[in-house]
Amino acid sequence: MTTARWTFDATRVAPGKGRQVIREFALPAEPTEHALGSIAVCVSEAMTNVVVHAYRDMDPPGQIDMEAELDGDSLTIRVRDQGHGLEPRIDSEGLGLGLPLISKFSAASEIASSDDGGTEIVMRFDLREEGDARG
Amino acid sequence: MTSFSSVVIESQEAARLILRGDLDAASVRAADDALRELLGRDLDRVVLDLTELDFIDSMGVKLLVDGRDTARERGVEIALAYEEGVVERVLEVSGVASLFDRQGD
Repeated sequence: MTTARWTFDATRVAPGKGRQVIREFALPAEPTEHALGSIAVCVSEAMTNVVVHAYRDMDPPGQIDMEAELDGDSLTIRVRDQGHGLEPRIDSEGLGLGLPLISKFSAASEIASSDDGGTEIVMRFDLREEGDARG
Repeated sequence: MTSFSSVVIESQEAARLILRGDLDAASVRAADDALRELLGRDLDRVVLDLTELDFIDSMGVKLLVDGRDTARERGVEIALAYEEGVVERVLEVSGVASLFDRQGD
């Protein structure tokens, strides 16, 4: 089993950085292109959710913690914040598509609130995933 | 992660906005500026060309939906061009693909 952990400032460039590091982490396991696409979408949505929602009205913004665990053909990613969590906001920048996309593009996903008020999104991926398996 | 850029190819009363790189939270404002500027011109038809886009997430999807709404308000016909891959998957799963004509279909 291989694990890694990263911390990002919750700015608008964070999702792109997150996609990049998780791709580099997963590549030695030779994932399918389909799986890499699914992972990129889910990491981007989870981190964008933090950037847009979790630290709103906070200056400077907080941080995003991401952990990855590679075990054979299975990759588990945890994205965590210490902000406002998933409270809805009427002035949201998005369409509310983030969590539905995570659900569709991951093999399994779970969202939990932490004791400090933040949110953790846990997503699991099958690195051998081929087209039409999901989404 | 690839950097974002856009280019407009214009002919008489029609234009193609080519989006390149990653369309996400970091780049959506630049893309929105380019699209709004284009829709402000006196055009009959705009094609949003996503064939050179490496990645799109829900922030980019919202840009497309907003652009479609603005185009309709201004009487501009708008269509998408995209290829097989993660961009197509996001458009299909989000339901946005069905909102647009696809160029080439």
